[in-house]
Amino acid sequence: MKRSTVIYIIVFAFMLIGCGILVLASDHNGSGATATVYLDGEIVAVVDLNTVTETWTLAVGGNTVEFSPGHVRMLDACCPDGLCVRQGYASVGKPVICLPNRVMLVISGPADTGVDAVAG
Amino acid sequence: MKRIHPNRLTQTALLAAIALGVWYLESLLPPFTAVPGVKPGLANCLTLYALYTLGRKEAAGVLTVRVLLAAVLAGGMGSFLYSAAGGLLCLLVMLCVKLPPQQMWVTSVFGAIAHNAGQLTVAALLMRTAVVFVYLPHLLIAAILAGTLTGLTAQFAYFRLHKYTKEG
Repeated sequence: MKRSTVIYIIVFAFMLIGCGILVLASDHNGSGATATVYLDGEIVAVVDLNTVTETWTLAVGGNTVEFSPGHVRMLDACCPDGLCVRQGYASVGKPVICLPNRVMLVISGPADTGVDAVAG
Repeated sequence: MKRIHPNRLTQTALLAAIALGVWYLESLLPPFTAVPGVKPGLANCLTLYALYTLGRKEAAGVLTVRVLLAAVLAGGMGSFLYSAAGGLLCLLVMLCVKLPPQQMWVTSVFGAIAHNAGQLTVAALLMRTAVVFVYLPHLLIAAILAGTLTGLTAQFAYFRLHKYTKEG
């Protein structure tokens, strides 16, 4: 085997390992934080997940977002593959993104505003 | 304008047709992961094969025909933007980093990385957010694995088929 081939294999192997670590490291537990819902890059709703006591849903751009105590997920989507539904609950560093409908659920650190639920 | 040899033209058209067929069959597969954009990209085997057996222009032709016809037949405007940006970047990188045939799979991996980077950029522009780049590590892993798979496929085909399709 050529020397350069060996080097390429080693470089790609390191990239695989590095990316694997990044993927695993980004998988935090998302409870107790603020969820921001985006549609077309604009903020649609900001919800402090600590204050959610019972499950409720919100319709955003053809998708249904479900808020439950400490968690938020895409409950339903009108696109054919429904990848965002399969992504499960959003967490810090692991947002749920629906590309076809351009809806995004982003979790940020613990809320400091004290606002219960703001929709705007 | 220099006329293209019928042999080359026929081979390019044949590869483009196979690429479209492979692309369609692949689109029937269920998604592999919940991360959007993770797929084997088998149609790139044909672009790669065209690049090594016929040349740069022919490879560009195979890719352009496949992306345009795929958009007309199956996809909408959205998926066309993704596949055009990904395909174009992939082609440019493979043209620049065209290694010897024994290392075709390495060229393929570089192309796959460029493809996924291009798609992620389109996603960021369409979504108007950089948040989509959290998928970069996932897509890099996918690019390395899928690029190796499609590259080795094209490489094996090259060493077994090319002697039969050479001109003259």
